[in-house]
Amino acid sequence: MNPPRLAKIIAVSIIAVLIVTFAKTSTRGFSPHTGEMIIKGAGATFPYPLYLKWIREYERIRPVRIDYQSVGSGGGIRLLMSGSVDFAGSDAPLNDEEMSKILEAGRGVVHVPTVAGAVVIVFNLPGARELNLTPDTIAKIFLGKIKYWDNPSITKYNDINLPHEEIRTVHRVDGSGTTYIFTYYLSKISDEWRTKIGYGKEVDWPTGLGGKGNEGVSQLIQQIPYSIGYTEYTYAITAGLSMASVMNRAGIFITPSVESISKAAVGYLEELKEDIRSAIVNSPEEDAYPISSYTYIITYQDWSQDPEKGKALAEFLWWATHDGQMFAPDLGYAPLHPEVVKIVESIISEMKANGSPLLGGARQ
Amino acid sequence: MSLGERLFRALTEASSYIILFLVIAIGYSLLLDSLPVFTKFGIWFLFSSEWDPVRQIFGALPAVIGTLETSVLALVMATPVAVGAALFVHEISPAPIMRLFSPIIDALASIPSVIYGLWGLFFLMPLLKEWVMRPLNEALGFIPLFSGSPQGPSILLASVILAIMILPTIASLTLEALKMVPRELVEGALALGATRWEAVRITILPHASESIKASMMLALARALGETMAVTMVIGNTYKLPVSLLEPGVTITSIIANSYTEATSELHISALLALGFILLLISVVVNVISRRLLGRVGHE
Repeated sequence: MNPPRLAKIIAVSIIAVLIVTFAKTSTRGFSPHTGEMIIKGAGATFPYPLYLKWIREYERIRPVRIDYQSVGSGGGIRLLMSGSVDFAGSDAPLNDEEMSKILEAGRGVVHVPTVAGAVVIVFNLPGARELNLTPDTIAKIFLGKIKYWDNPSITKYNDINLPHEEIRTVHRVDGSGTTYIFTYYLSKISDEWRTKIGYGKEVDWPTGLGGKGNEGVSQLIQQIPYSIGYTEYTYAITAGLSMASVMNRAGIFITPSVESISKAAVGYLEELKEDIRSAIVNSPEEDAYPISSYTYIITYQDWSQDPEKGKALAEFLWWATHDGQMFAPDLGYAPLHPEVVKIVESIISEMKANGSPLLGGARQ
Repeated sequence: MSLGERLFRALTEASSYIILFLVIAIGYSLLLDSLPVFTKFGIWFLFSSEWDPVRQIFGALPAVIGTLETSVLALVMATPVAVGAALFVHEISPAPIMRLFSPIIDALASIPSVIYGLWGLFFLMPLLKEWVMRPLNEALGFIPLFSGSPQGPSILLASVILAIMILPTIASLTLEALKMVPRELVEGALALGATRWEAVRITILPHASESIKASMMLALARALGETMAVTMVIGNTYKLPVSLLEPGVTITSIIANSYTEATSELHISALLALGFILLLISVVVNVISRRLLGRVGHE
């Protein structure tokens, strides 16, 4: 290689380094300018089918365009913080670290629960479609402590003949709100789980296989006899998987259903009034399914920089949590409990611009 | 030089520098983004096998080992079959089969990797589990490499899928190399009384061996980066792979699985650091394969 070429290669390398460095410091908060009112959102995949339905219905009655990209809860929160979207969809509320980060913008933050969902225990037991499980048993299975299907703590609550076969556990390997809710529940009901594993969108599983997405878990479960795992309720329904009934805090085995999920909030109304971020898992309510939770739309409270957009977004949120709720059950989501809707109303009323609320006067 | 000539030269030269620019830009930005994880864990990031997003502890070892293990194993399985097939087609089979061979190889190469993944999961996994993994485990379970309790998704299954995917690369490049061996050499050997096998061994294989090695390197590079099919069949368990029959992870599978929900800076940084490591591995493999191909050219 002769010297001039080497010089060029070095020059190109330096240019590459400079451009990357420049790009990394200069790509914050870019937003294209358009005349039309477009509200952009991104986040959780779990409520995506419902949000799509809402957006389609809403755009029919109001002159506004709403985009929602299902990039995952974490991605949505990142995009909200970088200013790329106007709201984020998330299956988990912001944690304290994320809260303090987003409050740095000085615009406050609101969490609006939009609909309730649940995580269900799905299984592949040849010959059995039903299964009763206690919270403690579930935790021990996923900790790898209960290894065989004929373990007394399973047979005690099930009249079927359970074989001496190894339990194959399957979990989500990709970060997901589903895993967050499931591990949050396990942390609540099992001290051992809380201290050893903890909860999060992705955790260090002590045992079992990993599948990507609800479909990955479901494929593995269908392929491997004597396996057990967890998916979203809506997914399990559409895929026709066998779901276990889980013993709730009142000591009753509850089959997951839109009604039993919707009930979960009832035991927690005081907590929800205090902080809407508080979870509704392990509800003390008698007919509530215990592994239930809300999915949220997270956005800024102060819209002084663009009052018009803020107003449009607040109106959409109001519509979604009221009229929009009727579309939920058909798609497998549990509507907000009426008492919770009241709390949501006060949250949306807190959204403001230049000191005055975005939604003036009495609504509907 | 005429203007057209100069323009042509400038354009082609610029294009070559664009490629160089891209490689350096990608590598450098990956390095920048992986700094947080390297400053936090230092070199231990490479040697730790813990991956706990809750406690924010990250180590790359199981993914790096899983990647190398599946790729090398795939290469070991695919090479004899691919070279054997190419030899048969070129040396022994009648002409019609030779004409069919290339289209079939091309078809195998053009199947999207998600299809390989699905096929692996629904067709190959039950077969392999029943007829290979169980017997291996029962007969040789005392050796750590075949220990554990086979459930299907595993390092072995991922390697077999990878082997099938890289087969076309090795086979078609080997076939091209065989065609370049001077006919006189082979005929000379045969005229001197060598058998088919002897002729292959003393004339063809030495002549084509560098090309075959280079094709293996290209295939290895493909196997290292393969994501979709591997993610679907490897079982995604983050621990050091001891047994071939147990699930594992690769660098690309953990990136594909985790990036959407990685919110903390450290977590994203760990994923990008894995990407940087993979880039380094690929560069090394490619440099070796260039060297080998270069030697072929100079002969």
